[in-house]
Amino acid sequence: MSQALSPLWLIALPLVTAPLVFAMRRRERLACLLAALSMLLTLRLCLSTPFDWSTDFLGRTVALQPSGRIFLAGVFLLAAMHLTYASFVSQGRAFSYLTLIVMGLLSAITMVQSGEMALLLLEIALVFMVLGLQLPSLRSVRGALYYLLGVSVAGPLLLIMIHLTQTRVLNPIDSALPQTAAILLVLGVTALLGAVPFQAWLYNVCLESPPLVVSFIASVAHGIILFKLLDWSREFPWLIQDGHVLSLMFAIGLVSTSLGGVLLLFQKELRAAFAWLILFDTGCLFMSLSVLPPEGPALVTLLWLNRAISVSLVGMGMGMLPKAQTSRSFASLNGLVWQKPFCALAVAVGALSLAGFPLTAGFTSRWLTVQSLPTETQRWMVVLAVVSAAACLGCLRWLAATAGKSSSEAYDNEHPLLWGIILLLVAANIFLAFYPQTSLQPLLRILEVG
Amino acid sequence: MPSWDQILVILPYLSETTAVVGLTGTSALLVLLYDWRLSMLILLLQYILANVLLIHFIPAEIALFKFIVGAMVCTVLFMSVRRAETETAAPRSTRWKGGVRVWAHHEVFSVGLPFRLLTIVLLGLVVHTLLQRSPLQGVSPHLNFAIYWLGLIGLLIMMLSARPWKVGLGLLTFLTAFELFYVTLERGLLVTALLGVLQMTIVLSLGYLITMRAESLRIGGAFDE
Repeated sequence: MSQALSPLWLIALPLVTAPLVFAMRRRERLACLLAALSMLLTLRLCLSTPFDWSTDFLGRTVALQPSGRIFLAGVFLLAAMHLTYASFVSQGRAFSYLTLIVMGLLSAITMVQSGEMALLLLEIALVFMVLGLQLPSLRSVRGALYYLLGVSVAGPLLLIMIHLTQTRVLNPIDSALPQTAAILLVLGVTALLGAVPFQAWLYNVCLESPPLVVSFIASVAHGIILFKLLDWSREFPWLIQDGHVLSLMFAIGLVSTSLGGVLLLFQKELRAAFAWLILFDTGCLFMSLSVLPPEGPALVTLLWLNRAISVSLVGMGMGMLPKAQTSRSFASLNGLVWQKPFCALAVAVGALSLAGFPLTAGFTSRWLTVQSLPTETQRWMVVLAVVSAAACLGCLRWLAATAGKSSSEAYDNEHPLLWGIILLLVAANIFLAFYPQTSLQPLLRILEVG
Repeated sequence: MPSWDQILVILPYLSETTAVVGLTGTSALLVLLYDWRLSMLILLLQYILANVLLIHFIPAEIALFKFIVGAMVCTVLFMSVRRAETETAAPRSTRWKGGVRVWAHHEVFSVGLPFRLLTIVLLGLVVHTLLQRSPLQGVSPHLNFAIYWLGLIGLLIMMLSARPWKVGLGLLTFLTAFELFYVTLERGLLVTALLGVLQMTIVLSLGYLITMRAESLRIGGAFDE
């Protein structure tokens, strides 16, 4: 019994299943379904593992904390949905087994108590994703290459930051050390999340990769980065409580949001629009990071929850568009609303929520963020309101294009299971929009416990 | 069997100064040269010199482990680029233009040898200024110079090139600079091993991208040309 409930199973199960899935990669549907099943089994184990169970792994303590359990349960469920979707709509043969490898590593990152080890495993997991970013049918590797550079350059910055946080414990009177560590942290996280000035990889990855792989990175991979960031800021509260650092994060957020919103307004291609939507949302995440605890971390988690649901919806919707693989223009999607209503619904709800349109979860989470921002940053809210309106207009332009005259092309019907997944995500988005307190209150309690 | 200290006494030319001078030269050559075979050889030499420098600060076994990782990195990169170059080799008639081989093609900027030479000189001045104004604490002057130099050269190579193998050389040079600095801070075996795994993962990803790009070129031209 004791072995059966060891937290190591959360790491081992996905990693052990990965070779089996790899062996079945030519039967893509079966491989994806097996991977999804493995994710659901790991989710079940995650929910039944007691909190007080810890073990040693390579000389480091591995334990499942309450916040880690909630986060892991969420990402396992999301990964299971992505894999089920990928079994019907191909995202490349590598997607199934790469997802399992990355999820196994993410479990380790969440539970391991050593900062360096967690960060190095995170880097390895993120670099592995390069293999899933590149479709053989696409003729450019620029997106994957830029992504690799962004991830690889961020690693050294964060490793040095972790070393400085440990040095601070030994030398608490050094006043310059916290600021240096915090700036390295902000730079590293900016590179990993693809915020300004590191947005090049995000744009190119969105143009060249399967939509669901982009969704997986923007939801699950970015989720673990935010989880570790909150973890570090809880362990070392002085790290992000410096006024200059908070201002820097707010500035990065505002610039990213503005750039994303303005570029979205003038966009005519769906994949590029997806990139600017993610940049816009990343900017909002950075703004919420400038809010002090306890509201700040809860808001970040709420924004991430909205992001995970919304990017999954957009990715799934885009994956169903046959034309999105070759043609990216809005004009080529005429009549989509009438021919593929579920596909149009997924993209519309996801995109509008990412843009912060009223009646979506994106609007509610941003409204709460704006209310929690310090008074000195409130004057910038006019800019945020304008760029949010620009982003919403950009999304509405896409909707208007899809509602146009019917295209002559005949579309296939989707499997009812895909409708189910999309409707579930849409319902979750609308529920979060009207009842954010149902997730905020438990989040605040969990974050207080740690 | 002689210890590393005895070996270093026997081979006095393996001093910190020799290693730093060698690293300066090899990394500059990585910016200047476009021949992939020579570049791979220089990268291997760079790993050897970096580990000769490290022997003066860390246990020789760890330096040896890092060298083995470096050699594996070079092997994977060499095999990937060789396959890519074989698949995409242009006909002999198009590889020469007016009797002069066309080296600087498919780059971010059209930069010739004089531009790159001048950039290296300017980079030297930047490194000198950095060493004067903000030297890294707890690091010897030789190591300080090597870290700044390799880090900036790595970034320069990444900025100037669009080809995956050349960008990879820049990335690996940058990571070598980071490792030179990081070993002075953290010498744990687990962290060292994980850094090695990370380097191998990065180079395998690079190899994949190099091969994919060559395949794209073979089929009908890559979009990032």
